[in-house]
Amino acid sequence: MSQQLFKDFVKGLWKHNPVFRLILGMCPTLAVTNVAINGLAMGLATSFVLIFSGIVISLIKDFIPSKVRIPCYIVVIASFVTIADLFMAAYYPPIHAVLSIYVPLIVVNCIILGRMEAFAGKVPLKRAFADAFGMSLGFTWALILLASVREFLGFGTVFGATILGAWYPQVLMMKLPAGAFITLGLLIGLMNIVSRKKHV
Amino acid sequence: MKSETPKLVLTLVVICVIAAAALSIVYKITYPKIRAEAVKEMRATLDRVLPEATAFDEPGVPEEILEQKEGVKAIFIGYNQNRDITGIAAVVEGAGYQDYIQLLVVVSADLKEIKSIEILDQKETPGLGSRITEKEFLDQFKGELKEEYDAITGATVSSTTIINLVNKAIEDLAKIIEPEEVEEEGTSEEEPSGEEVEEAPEEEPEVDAETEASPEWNGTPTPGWNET
Repeated sequence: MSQQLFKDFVKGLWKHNPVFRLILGMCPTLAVTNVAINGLAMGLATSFVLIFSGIVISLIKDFIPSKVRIPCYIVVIASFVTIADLFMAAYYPPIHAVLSIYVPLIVVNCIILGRMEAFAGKVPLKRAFADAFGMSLGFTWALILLASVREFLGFGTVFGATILGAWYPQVLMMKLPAGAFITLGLLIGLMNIVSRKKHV
Repeated sequence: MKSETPKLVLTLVVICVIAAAALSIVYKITYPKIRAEAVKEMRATLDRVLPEATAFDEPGVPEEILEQKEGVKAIFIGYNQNRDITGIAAVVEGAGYQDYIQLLVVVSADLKEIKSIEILDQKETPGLGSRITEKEFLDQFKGELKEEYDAITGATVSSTTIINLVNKAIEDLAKIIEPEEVEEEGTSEEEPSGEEVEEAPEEEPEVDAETEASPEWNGTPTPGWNET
């Protein structure tokens, strides 16, 4: 059983990484990853929603008729998103101001509904939690990596720390959505190469 | 088959009621904090843009000006110890390229000179439209009113919005301030003191203190800094 739990947890990190493998949740992935801190904040906010929705849905799954499960899931997810939004506005106003509209948009992040439908709605609490936790970590590290690469190329900094000085001609494209698409494509390609070597 | 429907409805109703209850509790807990944060931020901004002022007064904005899509949404008048007006800060709002842009235009008491411009809220394209927040762009507005201002290359819409909003702010302020100044001859002694917000040296984070000090602050329907 514990091996099963570990497997549920680990798959989100690499093998079924939501961003690089499942290619889910592209809206926040592409939109907010222009600087690393935004990637981290978005990753944590999404993790909060993913983990708590996973727990609640796994607990109430037996009471929900399958015909109305999607509306029920969405109500639960939307509630947690609103809670996350309010708490961020109250306690971390600067980050809330930067992420602005993308926090409420976590509701339509397909990783969350996808995990609820594919996993939390079918398995006991422990496994749902392990899955949500793994997926959250996988999503967060993917966002941080993507955002760090873009921040480095776009601004010459990482997490706000200057790495390339004022001489660096900042690449405008990396700050814009196009930079997100290109970076994501290259990172997925890189991951494919690494995965292939591992199998051989 | 027919007996299934009530169960579906009941499940949804129960879930929605629980969710609504949970959200209203969270909202109750966070609202004072969000409110206090917004008030504190506004006060910090006012202190920065009008450093000579020791007290601020927030006179209401007339309905017909508030109703406009673009225009002044709130004004703050700064006074020094001698009760002279050191400057007027106006919150103006108007549509930019992506979303509404909220500006703070700080002018001298006679509305002839711009002291500074601050962007309170903007969601323009990062790297292009968002360059309106750069010092070089905003600094050109400082000083006496000009006929023309420079726009930023690649950010024409965002720049034009700012330029229009600055002009609009002056126009609206003239409507709000001018008639009052005439009246002020007789009533200036009593008028501001009633609504005045004395500045405490240390800002209390408690929202209650702020609410009592400036009731009209919360009464003004100012979209933007109390948005969640």
